[in-house]
Amino acid sequence: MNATFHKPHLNANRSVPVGERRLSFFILSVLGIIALSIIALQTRFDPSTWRAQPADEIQPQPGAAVTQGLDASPVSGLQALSPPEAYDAASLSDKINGKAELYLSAGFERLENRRFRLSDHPEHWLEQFVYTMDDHASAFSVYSQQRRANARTLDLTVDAYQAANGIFLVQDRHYVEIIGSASSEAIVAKMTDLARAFVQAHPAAAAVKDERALFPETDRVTDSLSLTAANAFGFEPFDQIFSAKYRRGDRTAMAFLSRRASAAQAEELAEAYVAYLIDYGGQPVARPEAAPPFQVIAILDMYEIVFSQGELLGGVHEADDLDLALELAEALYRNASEASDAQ
Amino acid sequence: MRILTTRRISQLFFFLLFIWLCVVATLGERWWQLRGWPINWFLQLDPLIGLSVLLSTHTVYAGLIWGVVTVALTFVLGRFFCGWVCPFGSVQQVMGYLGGRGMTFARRIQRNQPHPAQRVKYYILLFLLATASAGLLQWMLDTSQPGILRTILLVSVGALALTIIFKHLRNGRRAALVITLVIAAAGVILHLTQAQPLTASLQTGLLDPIALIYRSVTLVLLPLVDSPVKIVSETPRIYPSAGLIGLLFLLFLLLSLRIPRFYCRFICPLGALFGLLSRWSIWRIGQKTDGCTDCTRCEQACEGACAPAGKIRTSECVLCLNCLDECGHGVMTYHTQLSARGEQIIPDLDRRHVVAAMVGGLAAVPILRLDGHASANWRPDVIRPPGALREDAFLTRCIKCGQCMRVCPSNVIHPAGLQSGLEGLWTPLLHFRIGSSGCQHNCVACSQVCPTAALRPLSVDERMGRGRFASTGPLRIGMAFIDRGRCLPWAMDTPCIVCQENCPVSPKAIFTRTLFQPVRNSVRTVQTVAADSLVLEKGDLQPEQYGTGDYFCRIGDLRPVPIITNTHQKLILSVKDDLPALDRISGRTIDILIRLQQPYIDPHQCIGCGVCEHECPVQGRRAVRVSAENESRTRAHKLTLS
Amino acid sequence: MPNELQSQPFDRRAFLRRMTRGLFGVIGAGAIGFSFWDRKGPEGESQSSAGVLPDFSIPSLAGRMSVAHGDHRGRMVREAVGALGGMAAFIRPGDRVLLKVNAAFAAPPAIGATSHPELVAQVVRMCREAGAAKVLVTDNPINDPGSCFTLSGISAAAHAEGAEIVLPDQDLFEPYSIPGATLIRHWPVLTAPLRRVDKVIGLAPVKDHHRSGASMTIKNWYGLLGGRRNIFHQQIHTIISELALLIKPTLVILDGTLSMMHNGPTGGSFDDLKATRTLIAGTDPVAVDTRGAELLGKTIEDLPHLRMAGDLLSR
Repeated sequence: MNATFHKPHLNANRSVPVGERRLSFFILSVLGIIALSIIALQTRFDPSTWRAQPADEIQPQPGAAVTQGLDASPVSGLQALSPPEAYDAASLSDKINGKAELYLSAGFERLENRRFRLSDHPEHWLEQFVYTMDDHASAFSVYSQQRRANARTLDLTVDAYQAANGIFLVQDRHYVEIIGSASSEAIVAKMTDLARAFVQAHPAAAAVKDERALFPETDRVTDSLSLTAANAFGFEPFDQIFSAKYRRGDRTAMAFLSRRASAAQAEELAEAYVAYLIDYGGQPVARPEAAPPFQVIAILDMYEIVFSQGELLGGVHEADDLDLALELAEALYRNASEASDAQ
Repeated sequence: MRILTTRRISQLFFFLLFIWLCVVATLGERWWQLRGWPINWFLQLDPLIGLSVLLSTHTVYAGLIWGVVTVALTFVLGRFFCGWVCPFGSVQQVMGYLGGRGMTFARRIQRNQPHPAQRVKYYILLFLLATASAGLLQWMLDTSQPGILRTILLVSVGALALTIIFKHLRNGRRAALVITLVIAAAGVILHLTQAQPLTASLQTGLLDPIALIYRSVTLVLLPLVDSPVKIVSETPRIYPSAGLIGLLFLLFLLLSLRIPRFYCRFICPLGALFGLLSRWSIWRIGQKTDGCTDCTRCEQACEGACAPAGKIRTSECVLCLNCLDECGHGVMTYHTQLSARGEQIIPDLDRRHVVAAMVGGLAAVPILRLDGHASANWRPDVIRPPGALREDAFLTRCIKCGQCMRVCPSNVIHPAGLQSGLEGLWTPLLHFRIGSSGCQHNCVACSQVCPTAALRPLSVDERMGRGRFASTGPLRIGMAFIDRGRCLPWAMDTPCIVCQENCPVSPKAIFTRTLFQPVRNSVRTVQTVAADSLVLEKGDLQPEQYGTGDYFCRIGDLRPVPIITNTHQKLILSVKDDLPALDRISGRTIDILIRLQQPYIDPHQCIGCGVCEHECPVQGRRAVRVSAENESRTRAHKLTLS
Repeated sequence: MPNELQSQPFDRRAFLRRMTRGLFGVIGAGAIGFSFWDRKGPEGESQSSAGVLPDFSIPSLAGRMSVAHGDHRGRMVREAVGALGGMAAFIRPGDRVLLKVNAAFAAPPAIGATSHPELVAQVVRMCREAGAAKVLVTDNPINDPGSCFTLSGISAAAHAEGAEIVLPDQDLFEPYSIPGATLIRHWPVLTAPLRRVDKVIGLAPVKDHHRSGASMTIKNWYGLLGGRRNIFHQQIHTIISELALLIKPTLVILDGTLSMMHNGPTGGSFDDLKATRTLIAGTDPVAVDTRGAELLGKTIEDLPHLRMAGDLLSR
């Protein structure tokens, strides 16, 4: 090889012909177009073709009645923040892990929920949960069992209250929770609107007449009426038990009532409960002569009274004063008798 | 701007784009994640993949049609892909540059001289295409379903064959006639008997440079780089048999230190394909009319080793344009004329080697299939990703690119070693012991990403058996079996229901049956009986040993009483009724029972997702393992009716 | 073809030729690419099924059955078929006939696990006499097909009388669905020989069967199923009743000269056999099997598939 050619880049400074320059420019433009197309392409993306998205895990059953529960259109100033979600009994625990059992044991059918944002306060949002239960009693049961302290009763429906950042109500067989991200006035106003819209869209079938009407009013603790769907007072056969708290001075008691399928069953269950109490160390106490056929049990410094009257099973639970217990039981028994006679 | 600078920009652009597309193949919606990035684009641009899938399946799947663009441009421009686009080519070019620094001019020229072994890549190409070609051949000969396309193809192949034969006959080669008659006779016999002695298998991916670099980057480089910084994946990705992939990649890089573009020159079947196509390319590198002083300067940086100073080997030229820039005399140019010094336009191939490569390729697959791994001898431990076609069809499509392994959010898809035969090397299979969970039963990412539909594109509905697919039920990739000799509750009297708890389908495919077993050496003599506890004669218990809630005390023929806890000498029991008096306990002995929930599989519910196998606490060889039985991809593996 | 090209300045012709070839290349690649373009990708396992098999029965002869007694199969089958009007009532001259024998096991004829060669020979002969152009004999046995046909003596008997044995090659099967059936759906069935013939005759021995209670003329069609058919043993009665829907035969012949009373369907010992000296021919397989069950000392209550088959057929 000729040694004169060892110098590298003999031509580094050769003049670049116009054609070459134009070609370079053209190629660079093509690369630019490719880059831009790819950037444009990546915005077109549908993640649901790759993996199930949380929202489509549950699809509405074809033919099932569509609940309008998540319709926020009557309320102005709300924007949807998330797609509507729905859960059935099998998937409920995916949404409310830990509390699902409460709903399932009460007779749960379906939960629909959706988040909304306030148009004029985009940093505030609220979420509406509509639990559709088997019937009104189931809805009342889950409502009453999680009633918040410091609640303010609302006159939206028979059973409705407002806590610091939430509105909770029962309408027909729906239990509705509307939870706000804060407790500001703006949110509360929108929550109230949303609740009212729901109540209007879901008129109750008829006024429900049940055991709740039979609880004496005197000394009753406001909003203490509740319905326990199963395993009330730790006694497994006790299901569908309505109860209310009473307070006189510093003495307290709880009254309970439950309608059973037949008088015989009511009586049988009353006996079983008494046996259960005695099993756990209860001592039978003689009742006053004049009193109705109660069974009175003293247990752990408290008093329990159990009776059956027709199909109704009733009594007093954990009363710390025998007089109060007897008085309450008598009033309850009287109401129960009237109800039985009326039928 | 010099065209050489533009070429470097282009190479850098495509290399960075390639790396970017590897990084974003991460399931997710953030801008650096999957989104709509065309992560398969390089594979789709690669016409060798499109062509071999066409040969093996007689279809060109979806995005593989991009290969047509590359082919068309090659017809016009020459091997632009090699010198301007191919990321593996660019990497090698850099290695070649590094290896050549400090070398003398003469040494550099020497290492860029054409080498006879550059022919090898054409034989590799022909061999690989032949292994795949049975699919299209059989489709062509299958005249039971006539069609225009088939007729056109048959006629044109026939016409081409006849032309070649007549040309040879004119030159007086008798052998051509004999070979023709043999092939024709074989064709007629095959047609009449409808026999299908040939089988297609797609092995192109083993050596295709794009598949190779995808595999090397996503399965080796990316995990290596990402494991300390944890940006792409929170847990380090593990890929068995990635070692071999990585070492081969390293080997080719090191070889290109010594010989620039070693892989491109000697091995690359894609380069060989482009070499054949560039024969008629309209623009080509060559010399202008006289003016060349034979200084050979142009050859000191010639990437393709195509001897531009003499008769340029056009099929080897990768359009690096170094010669253009090096030529001090303005002789080298890129134009529509042939080189003034003449060209050697087709590679110097030996006819006998060509025939050997093709016959070898055609024969290799039936030989490999003799072990029956795609038929009766299917391997139960080969669990393919959801959407995988039946094994024989799967093997005609999978190019071993590793995209499914890259995109899998749980790192459960891995390159195979030899589990599915030599043919199945680096094909995807599922190892549930590795990865962050089993195969997520609501994810179809791998089937969506597959560039060749070896995993056919599934919808989430089809995978889960919802909506339109409610009647066919969920897709099964296998089925779990309990190994009762290893399972804790079955073999070791130890409570465990981890598999049942983690089973993701509803209703669960794993259920348990409860039984009570006496604990070994647990018979004890009672000293005294208290209201809710037993005091034993010997204080040899470990405190709280039986306090887990799984233990029960058997006292005579009473129903076993749950043990709350124990001290050295005392068992504290959960009593409802009074305990019997001491003298009523026969022999004053009691023993302890353990409550076990033994898992069972419901074959009608199990989809083979392997979550149970992944979670099984028997860490080595799991006590519940998925096997390919009952997988949906072939009816022949069905285990249950319905 | 020249491997090297010499350039001549301004060779316009050569350039144009190259240009044309390049252009053809582009167009060709484009045309091939687009004509084979598959935008959607492959389907899963094909769910398509072949057309429904023809009904081989002769309506005017529906519900006929005859019973012959004795020890000589050849004579008994002539008597029994003769009582139904003779083979000529079933087979027209020129008909192609398929005999579905039971060649399930590679066992000698004496243990009674397979159709007796003497009977096969006689039935082939009768078909030939009635003018059959071609008689095919087939079964998809459990053991290796070649050995089964040879060891059972059926191969020799059939060949001697000019019949052809059709061995169950893989390509004679096709995925088949019985309309309305739940198990035989997209299942490989040995349909190719069935599609080649005009008449089908079933030829089965009376055997005890461990899973189903009895194996007679309906269970005999099990030998037309391919694939991993032992999966059907999970629902043996359903599959047998669906087999009654699969084939509507011209004639069935149930050989109870010797019945396998226990240890069926393989038997193995002469003690398993009992000389029940009966051969039943008929056009209604359910009726024939019900009569055959008596030979095993069983009633329709013991064999639920017979009742299920009857219900399916009358639907």
